[in-house]
Amino acid sequence: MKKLSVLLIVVSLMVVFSFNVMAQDYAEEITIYNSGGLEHDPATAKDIERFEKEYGVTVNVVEVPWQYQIDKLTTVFSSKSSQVDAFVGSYFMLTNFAMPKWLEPIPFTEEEEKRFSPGVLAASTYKGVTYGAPRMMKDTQLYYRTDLLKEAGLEVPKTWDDLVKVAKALTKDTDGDGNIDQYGFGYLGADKLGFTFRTFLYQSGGEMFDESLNPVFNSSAGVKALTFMSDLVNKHKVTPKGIISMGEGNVGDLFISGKLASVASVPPLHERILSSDLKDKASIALAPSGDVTNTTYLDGNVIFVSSFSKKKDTAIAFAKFMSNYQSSLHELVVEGNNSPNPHVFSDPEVTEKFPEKWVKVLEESVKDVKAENYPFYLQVEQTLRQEIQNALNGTKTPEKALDDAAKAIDELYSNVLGI
Amino acid sequence: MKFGKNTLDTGDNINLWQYFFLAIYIVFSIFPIYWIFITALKTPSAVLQLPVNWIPENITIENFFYVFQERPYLSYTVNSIIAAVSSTIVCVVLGTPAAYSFSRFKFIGHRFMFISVLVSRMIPPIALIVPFYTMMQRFGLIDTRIALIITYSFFNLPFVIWVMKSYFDEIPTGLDEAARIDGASKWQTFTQVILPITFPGIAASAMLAFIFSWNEFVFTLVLTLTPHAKTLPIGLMDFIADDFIDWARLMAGGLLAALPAIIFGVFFQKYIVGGLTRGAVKE
Amino acid sequence: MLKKLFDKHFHYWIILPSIFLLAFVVVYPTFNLFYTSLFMKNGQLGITRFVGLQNYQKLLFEDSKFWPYLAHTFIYVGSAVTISLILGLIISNILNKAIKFRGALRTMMLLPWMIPLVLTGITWRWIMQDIYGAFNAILMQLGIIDQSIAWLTEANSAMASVITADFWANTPFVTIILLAGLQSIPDQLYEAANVDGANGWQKFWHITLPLLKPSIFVALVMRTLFAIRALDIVYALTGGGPGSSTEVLASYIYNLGRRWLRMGYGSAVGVILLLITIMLVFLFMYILKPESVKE
Repeated sequence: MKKLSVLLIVVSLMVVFSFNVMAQDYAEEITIYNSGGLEHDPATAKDIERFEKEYGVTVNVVEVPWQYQIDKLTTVFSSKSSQVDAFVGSYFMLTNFAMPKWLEPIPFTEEEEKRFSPGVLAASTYKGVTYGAPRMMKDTQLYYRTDLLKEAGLEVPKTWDDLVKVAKALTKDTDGDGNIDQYGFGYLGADKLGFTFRTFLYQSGGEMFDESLNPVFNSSAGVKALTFMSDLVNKHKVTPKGIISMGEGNVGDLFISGKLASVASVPPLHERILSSDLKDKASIALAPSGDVTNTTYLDGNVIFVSSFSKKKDTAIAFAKFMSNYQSSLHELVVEGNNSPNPHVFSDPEVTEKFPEKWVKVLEESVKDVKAENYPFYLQVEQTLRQEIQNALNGTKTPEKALDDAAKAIDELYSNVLGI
Repeated sequence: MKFGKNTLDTGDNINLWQYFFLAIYIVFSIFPIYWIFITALKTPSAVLQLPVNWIPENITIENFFYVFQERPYLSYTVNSIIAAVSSTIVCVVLGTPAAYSFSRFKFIGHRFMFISVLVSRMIPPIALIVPFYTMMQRFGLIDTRIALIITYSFFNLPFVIWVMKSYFDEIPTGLDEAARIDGASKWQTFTQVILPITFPGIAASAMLAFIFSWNEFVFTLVLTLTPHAKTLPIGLMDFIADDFIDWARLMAGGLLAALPAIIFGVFFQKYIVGGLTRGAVKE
Repeated sequence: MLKKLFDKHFHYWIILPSIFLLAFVVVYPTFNLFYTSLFMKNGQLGITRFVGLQNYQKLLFEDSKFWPYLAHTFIYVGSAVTISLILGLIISNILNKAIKFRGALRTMMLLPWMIPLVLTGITWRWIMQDIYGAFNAILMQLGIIDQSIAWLTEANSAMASVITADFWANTPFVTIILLAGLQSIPDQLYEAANVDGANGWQKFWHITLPLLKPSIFVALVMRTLFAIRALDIVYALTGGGPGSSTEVLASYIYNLGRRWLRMGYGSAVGVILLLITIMLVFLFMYILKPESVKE
């Protein structure tokens, strides 16, 4: 008995010891791919510097244009190259890279998992394995012009019906030349149409897929969501038609140039507002809620570790570091990106920088976010985007568009996955 | 060496309709560039002002400085110039003799080889990306200018051969024969008789090779990582993010990226005049 | 002795370096393209399975995307190439004449080609945009329209925008090729025609056009090759939308092979595109019969 316990102690000491040695035995340098130039990501730059200092590891950053990040990583991974150790990617890339086993699971401890809002953690997980370390997130809020609302004596819309009413009142011809030059409401279009649709879908109680991966976004909830999006453009005419071809940046441009009185957009916009002429004329509120929930869809940046990396331990340490409290705090304070970690909102640095109301809205909004991970995300997304555009420009009815999308996706799954 | 009077005289002058057409076309060509230009001169906050200001009010050249000071633009420019110029030289030096051979000599495999040259450019480039990447990786050439020079040369050589062949074809074979009768070797005929009068063709194909290399995007993106080898078009993408496009700086960066190409173009278009009947032969 | 040998096999010596270089890139990838197209190869699932010609069967008879995308490809390539060829022919003829500021005009004509394609796409997107686009602003200030039009949200106007951006960027290339070709037409021919009292149009039709055939052929084929595989402009301008109205085969291959990792299927589309390109080129050869390919 005594012998056994001594043995146990020795073994456990050895384990602890070797674990410690291993934990401190980091590689000298790792290479990470960042989406876009680092000076657009001052918070990322700052955290990388901290990591280098604390861990004594040199981090080589390769800046990849964001639209081409997936393509470039695909080339690197297809050739089984160990060139990349970790990369700053997006939640939506997860299945694309996890399915072919190009990603290394990130073994968060229970303690570490508690950092994150449950919706965000679920978005970083595929088939029960966590692959991503959430760094920041983009979820939908309502950005609106306080001056215009006040002038018209209107309240901030809380539901879809309110939104239509307010938007109608704010859509007008301000200079009297017969053309509308101020629209009441806008949402993110083009490549972000799927993003926008999912928020409306979740809000009306729908889901993208059921448990056995059948597409269910063409349910009545889905039709309701897409009909709402289409009505805003075609029936109520409070959203400019051009939105169909405008992504996050373009719609932001419209808001900043004063052509939109309100817009459902994501937190980087509030950083843009703060550095523009609209600084004192705009505010932020929770996205107007649908009949069922006020859940919003989430995307954003997450750190992934390559399974081809020869320095996995260091890369995993890096991923964990880049998603810790300090890192999320920096993303919020330095870049204005919403934090997957709800604890940072009470940090003095946050309350000092942002108006109290903004912080409250962001904090509230993080609590109710959702994203589903399903196979062939990119291909599903393209089909969905195409059909949403068909519905919005009147080529198809919302029902037909969603049914066609569901059919195409069903075919894809049964053809390729055999389900 | 002067290239004689620098116009081809067909005996007509330009009529009014042609002037009119040319004017419209030039306006169409210049307008988007004017738009790029005035945007580059605006302050970031003035860029999105509506209605559109066709003549910017508060002009600033800060965007141009920003591009050079805050971005590794200098090294992008150097990489672009080295890669494009080197591959242009490779293409012209290798391609011109090959084109001459295709144009003048009939030999075994002649037709097959020429068709192969054509077909080599018809393969969808997407099919080449992964093989190229793997090959460059094996030779340790990822993120080097050499990889770019090799790639650009591969891509532009068929074009140069082709353009030059069509150009040689337009030159009467009588010139060659006369030289041969005078006792010149084939090499001498080529270098001393034919080559000097093909200057316009060489200038045009050099321009093609240069501009295609200068603007190459997909392969450069895959083959480069850092400012060691990144070129201007890739560097330009840094101004585009999904949350917003830094319009003023993007446009300033774009103009700076085009500038060396424009200088190159201005220089070479001068040589695309007067070929066969005047030019160097007479000198 | 060596010299003599060099002279005897001169045609081979000067051709070999190029052929050697090209063979290096052509042989393996082409073989690989055909080979891969016979497999079901999915990078997402890690599957590689020999399926023979099934990919082609699926593509031609079952795929609801292939035929529409092929049609878009033909519309896009056909219009962009035709327009740029006609424009290039006219402009090169004008700019070849004695005209004031010819150097400056030629340079201006060249400018669009010098702008990096990524910037071309994104600038045209901005110009064609609803509400704050420059094109709408011009039309409104000229009083042609009174409400801005969302050009990129309707199938036809989106395709027209893409085509416009394409020939805007590429006409200078055609012009340069033709301008170089025009230089080799001997003056004597025009002088003789002048003696015969031919007018400008007759000279263009009977002298310029026939003698320019080799250059026209080169310009036509090269433009077609580039347009058929072009994605930069399409992607920057419309992203393939609205709906799938500006998706072309090149973007389909790109998505299949590089994003969705259906390499086998993507290769099959690639083979089809290669065959279409070859057929087109032979068709051009047959129609134009340029000396440069006829032995």
